Amino acid sequence: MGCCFSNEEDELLPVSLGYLWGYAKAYMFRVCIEGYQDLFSLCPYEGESKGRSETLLEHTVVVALDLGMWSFKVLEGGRCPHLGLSESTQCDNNNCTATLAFLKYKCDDFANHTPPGPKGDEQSALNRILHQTANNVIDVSAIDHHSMEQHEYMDRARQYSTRIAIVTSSSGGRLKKKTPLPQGTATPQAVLATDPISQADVQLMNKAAAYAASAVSQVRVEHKEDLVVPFGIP
Amino acid sequence: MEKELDKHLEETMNTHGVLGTLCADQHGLCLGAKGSVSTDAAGMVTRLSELAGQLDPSSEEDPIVCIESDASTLMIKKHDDVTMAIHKAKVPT
Repeated sequence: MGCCFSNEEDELLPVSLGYLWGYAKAYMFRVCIEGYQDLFSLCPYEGESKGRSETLLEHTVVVALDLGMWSFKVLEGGRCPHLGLSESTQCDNNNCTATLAFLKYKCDDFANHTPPGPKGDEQSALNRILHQTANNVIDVSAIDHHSMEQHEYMDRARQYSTRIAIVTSSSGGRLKKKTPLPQGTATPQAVLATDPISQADVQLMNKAAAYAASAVSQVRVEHKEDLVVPFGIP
Repeated sequence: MEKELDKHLEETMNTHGVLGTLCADQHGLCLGAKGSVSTDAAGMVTRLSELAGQLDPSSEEDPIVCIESDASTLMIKKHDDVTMAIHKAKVPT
């Protein structure tokens, strides 16, 4: 199936000087046609174009331009050499994507044409995403294995440990944890063998705690004067 | 309204050998402190007595926690919602 443009009267759009861009995974197509500086998006099975609603019939997308309505039709068994699309172009309802991706009409004048208007941001955004992905992806297989010699390895290890020592010593107490518990006794068995607290102390504690509990339970609020006082307004 | 508690702490201080005393509620709020025991210790004292109580949950009585040093002992006991701590000098034997 091929693609071409036609208007309401089924006249073929002069797309010989236009080109079609697609997105690898997108469902939208951007079209730039010479003479018509506006860009619009085609959505194979749903979408909007320039704020106007589209009606999508099977294999047909109606695209609104400022200059009128143009339809994007998929013809059975045809070719559209002007657009550089071939029969291998898949344009069924769900899959008008990969084969139309980044097809460009071979036109030197439009090789580097950047579309104006808000649609240009999409293209730049796409490019940015592409470059970002390329930068972020690390190709492990392409990394060459650089093996270090023994002396170089030892030198580096020494260098790193001195640097670490400098950092830890310069930061001082900031990095240190709180003071640890004291060492304690050297003879724990001697300490554990001593007598526990005396019975007198146990009784003192019991009495003191009980009395304190009862004293706390007797805490009462004493009402001395009102909190809210009316002012005398003459 | 805390007169009674204050009086009690004062009486405890007058006991022979007591260096300091502290009383805290169940949340660690210091209700009163006298002598060598600082008010800052209230929270820790409360928590210590709580943890000690967990050692034997089946026991009906709250334990007495003793922190001993060479010269003195800090004794902590919980009763109902109040925790009492007494810092007592060790009697030389």
